[in-house]
Amino acid sequence: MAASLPMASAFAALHARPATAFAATDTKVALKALYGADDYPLSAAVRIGVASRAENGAVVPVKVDVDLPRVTEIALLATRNPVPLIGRFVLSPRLRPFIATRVKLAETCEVLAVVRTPDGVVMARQTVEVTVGGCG
Amino acid sequence: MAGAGIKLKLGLKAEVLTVRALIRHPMEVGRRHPAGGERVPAHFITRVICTLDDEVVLDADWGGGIAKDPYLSFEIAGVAPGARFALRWVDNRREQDEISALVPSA
Repeated sequence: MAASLPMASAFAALHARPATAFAATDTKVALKALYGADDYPLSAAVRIGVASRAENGAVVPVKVDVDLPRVTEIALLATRNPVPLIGRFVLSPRLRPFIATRVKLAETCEVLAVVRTPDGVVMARQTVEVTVGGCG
Repeated sequence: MAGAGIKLKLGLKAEVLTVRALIRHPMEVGRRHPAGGERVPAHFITRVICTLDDEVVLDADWGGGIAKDPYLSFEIAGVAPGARFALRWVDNRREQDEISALVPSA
């Protein structure tokens, strides 16, 4: 275990939280707050790994794998969650364009993976049928 | 103790470091009303920062839509054994924790 790092200063030196996007209760509003437009072209280069049916919406494994160079950000949204924006991941150039996590889905919805590169923003979507909602 | 609530697994193969982290945290979204009870206040991780030898490699903003006891996995290229990986989180109550470990041999 390393000595405790100066977390507060390290956090402050980095980007600001996308607070407006997290406050949005509508997917298009969240997208616009994040990247400036309320819709983006779908790309087959963005692959969402999520089951098409989730028994328990409280814990839904999701992975995003992108076949594009220079991915700088991956954002995950669920269209029917009370707060659609689940997370925004900022990647250094050393990271492979891949993220795996587990999310909450309030009800049957589309999961969106939105990917930013210097060439623009693209996304992929996958419908997930939720049996028991997970208070997203 | 720092890092007690974080499980971290590091695997190195062909200079690609696979990170798998499991963080113990309620990730309470703040809208839940247990039957007959009061609303459970929001308590969720808002920021996760991962570094490799003090260089930020992943910087994530989270909302309450990340599942309880968050799992996070990703892969870093060009990593040599002995580098120091660290993961830190902070939540909406300004609670925070961190863990660090040396990258094992391939």
